[in-house]
Amino acid sequence: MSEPQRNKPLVSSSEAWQQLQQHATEMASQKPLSVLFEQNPERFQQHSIQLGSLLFDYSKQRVTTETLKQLMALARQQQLPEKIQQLLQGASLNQTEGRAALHTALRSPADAKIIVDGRNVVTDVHQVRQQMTTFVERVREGVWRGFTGKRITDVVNIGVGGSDLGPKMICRALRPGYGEKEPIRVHFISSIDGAHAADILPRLSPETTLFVVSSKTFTTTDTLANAAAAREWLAQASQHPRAVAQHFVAATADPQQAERWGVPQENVFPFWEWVGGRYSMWSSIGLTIALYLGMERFDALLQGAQQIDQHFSEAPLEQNIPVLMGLIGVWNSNFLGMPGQVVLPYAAHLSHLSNYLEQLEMESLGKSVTQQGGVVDYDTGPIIWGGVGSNAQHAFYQLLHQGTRFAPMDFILPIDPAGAEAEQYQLTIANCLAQSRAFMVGQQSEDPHRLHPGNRPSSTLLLDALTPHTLGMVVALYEHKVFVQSVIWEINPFDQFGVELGKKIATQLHQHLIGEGEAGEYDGYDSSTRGLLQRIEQRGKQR
Amino acid sequence: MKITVYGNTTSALVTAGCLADIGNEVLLVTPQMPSPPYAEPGLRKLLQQQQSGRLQSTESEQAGAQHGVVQYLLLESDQLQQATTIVKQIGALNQQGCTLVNRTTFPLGSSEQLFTVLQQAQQQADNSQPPCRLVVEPDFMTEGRMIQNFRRPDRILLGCDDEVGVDVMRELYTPYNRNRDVVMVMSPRSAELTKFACNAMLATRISFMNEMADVAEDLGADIEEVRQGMGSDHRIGYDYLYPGTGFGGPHFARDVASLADTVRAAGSRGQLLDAVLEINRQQREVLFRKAWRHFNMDLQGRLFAIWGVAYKPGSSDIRNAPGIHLIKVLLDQGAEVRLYDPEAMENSRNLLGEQPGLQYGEDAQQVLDGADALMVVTEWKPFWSPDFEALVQRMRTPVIFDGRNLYSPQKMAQLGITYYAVGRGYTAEKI
Repeated sequence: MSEPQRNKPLVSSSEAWQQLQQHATEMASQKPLSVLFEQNPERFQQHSIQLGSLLFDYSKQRVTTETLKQLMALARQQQLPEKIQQLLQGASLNQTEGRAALHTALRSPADAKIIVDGRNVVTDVHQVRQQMTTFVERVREGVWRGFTGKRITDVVNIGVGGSDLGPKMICRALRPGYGEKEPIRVHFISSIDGAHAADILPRLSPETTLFVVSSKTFTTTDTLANAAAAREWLAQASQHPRAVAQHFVAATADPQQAERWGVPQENVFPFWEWVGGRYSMWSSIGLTIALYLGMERFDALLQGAQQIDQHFSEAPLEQNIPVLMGLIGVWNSNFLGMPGQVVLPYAAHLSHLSNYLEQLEMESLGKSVTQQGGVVDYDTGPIIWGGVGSNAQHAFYQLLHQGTRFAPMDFILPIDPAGAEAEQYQLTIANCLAQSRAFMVGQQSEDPHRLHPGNRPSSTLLLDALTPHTLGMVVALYEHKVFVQSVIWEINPFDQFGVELGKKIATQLHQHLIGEGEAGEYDGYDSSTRGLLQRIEQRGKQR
Repeated sequence: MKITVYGNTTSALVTAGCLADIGNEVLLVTPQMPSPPYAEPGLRKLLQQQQSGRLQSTESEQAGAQHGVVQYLLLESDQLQQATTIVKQIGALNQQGCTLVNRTTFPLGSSEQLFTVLQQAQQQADNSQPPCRLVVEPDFMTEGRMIQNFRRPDRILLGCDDEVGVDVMRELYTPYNRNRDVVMVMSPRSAELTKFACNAMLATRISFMNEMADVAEDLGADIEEVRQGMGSDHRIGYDYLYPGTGFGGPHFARDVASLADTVRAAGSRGQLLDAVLEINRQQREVLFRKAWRHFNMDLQGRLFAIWGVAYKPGSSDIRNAPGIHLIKVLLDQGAEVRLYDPEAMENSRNLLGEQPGLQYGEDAQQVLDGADALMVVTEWKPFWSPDFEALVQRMRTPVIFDGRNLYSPQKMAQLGITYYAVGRGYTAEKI
């Protein structure tokens, strides 16, 4: 990487950025949101977009027409429209790792063409999808049998990070079709400490349990440790050489590695280097989802995402939901100085969405250098957290309402209830709308303890219902929002070098802990690490 | 007596034929006069004798409603909708203060609902008819012995709250109730539940024995010896103690499932019945599981000869038969199946049709040619003592999966046949 590139002026010194800073200063002394609403009866119509079964309302964000105009200028200055096309067409945007990021190809229709290294990757994608369809139907219809000839009743997903969070979030959010008498139960083992496995395996029967081992490299320590424990558990029930073949399948970008581990070739469901872990649930990593929901619903999930891909590609910036989400995030973070972002689904089934988005956003946007290696002098990815909104009201909302720090919020609300309790569900709707309004209007009070400052911005994603299709839309919106922000901040959202140092040190420490380290190797460590190790060793001797 | 019988079930034909035979004027209401659907012994002859005289049939429900002082419902158990239409007609048209006899196994509580419908129709017609009465008479006839069951019943169970109704039925059944009085009277609701409870009890015995067979295999005991030891205890008795490929047939399993649903809906804990049904679901695949292990989890291209598809010997009925499920799961694994049943070939063809890997055999011997294994599913008499030497000659590998425990394990061993039965301490090596 050459110096001139590294020294390229940062976006923060660009004209569009400077103007936005100026604009933000002016806005600070201007009218609060409540007044903007009073003065403009069209504010909702002007600042909301209906796309199929999804409505995006950003009218409660602290933006004016002028703000949006300037944000669009920033986007164009950063060549966002060109970058979007490059992303969707498979340009090598992941520069640090020299490859494309083509999660969108995973949901492309079969007749699409996306050429990478002279190969139409859509063909490969649909070939694996076919392999998944056949397998999923065999398992769900009871044709696939365990070692004693019984059908599979339980699927255990063994994976961590993107191989865990996506499938887990979706399986918690959606349900198999109604009328399905005995749906397959799904379980997730991710933790390296073995606690998940210890909780889950004793409740299952080896003869009816199928393991999906998911790892992009098939070398992930956490996953292989858990997979080995599962194989050992199976071996206690059957030593037959074919048993592993009947009970273990793999989703990986390194099929040979999985075969070496013991999964027969026909049970390996491949994906590709150009699928990032946190963008991978659309690939064979979604096998657990498909086993649980059925292929039809898995396809609907992909179609929902595809609808957003198309919208992202075709809609003008001003009407482009992920673009608006991304730019408003930049505005809140870099110009209004808000350090975080909260995700608040008003749907208990979306309990794992914030965990999922924490990885998607923070692993993607937690960077401090530009693609060219220059050190940024502005804030990048905000700290993301969240939870089921109606429960979070009883937990951390206090800080959002009256604390000195504040983070903008995304409310996500399905209109139709998930259960049959339509009447009770009206409480959920009322609470969601009440909160976004309360944050916006605030409350004057003589008693300072009861004062709500208000003017606290939020967006609302209103879904007709929580379905595979609308959930696919929501996830794709956030994926593209992340991309938009990475383009503005000039950072690479597709690498994650930050996770490696800890792994490296852990490998050394592990050697030491199991007695295979070299003597004196840790003398160079800080006194804290050494002190902790000492106490741990003492405790080990006491046992 | 003038009797109307609704339905074209075998039970309806038997009831109509027998009642005509003892001098009643019977009108059978049926869409078409069926030829006896399932080879019920003696039925064809009985109907031929009566059809010209006291047994008449009609398609007209109106005619039926007007005809009988006793009105029998003998429909299929999924025909509750038709039954509702029928009782409306009876309420509107019958002028004789009839007795409605429900012998159909509808869901619990249906008889009283139907009778309410009848009474409402009667009120609407408002032609000051004398009141009708409800009798629930559970059908305990077993296929293959139905005429005998009807004429010499172990008991006549009448669910009726009305003395007149009981008297009518006693009079009608006098010829069958001479030796000793076998009439039992109880409430309609108790009569319905008695029928379900009997089936549930029998199903429970079978599932219990299947579970014991599993245990016997694990412990190296022989369930056949255990069964005889148990049966000799007069508190237990020998009936319905046979382990095998699970219970099936047109009504049995469905009745138990229906009772389990009713128990659940009533908010009671139906744990035992759920277990009985679950064990039976597993048991239907017991031969498959043994084959799966024997052939190392790979049945692709293996040829299985199947002896028997009917849910029991003496019947051509394959509805809900364990053998049908077995054939499906074998085909699912890419195995080939060649089946033979002395009576159920036509029904099998109609149900299963032409499928890749499925062959309809010519006789018990021919299906063995080149087979990798034989599966005995129904204990038809000709299967009890086959020519084993010829069998070994014909088969590619002499392997028998016996779902009815027909043969002696010792003899099979002498003949060099690999023999798997149900619960006889001889199982595939644990894998």
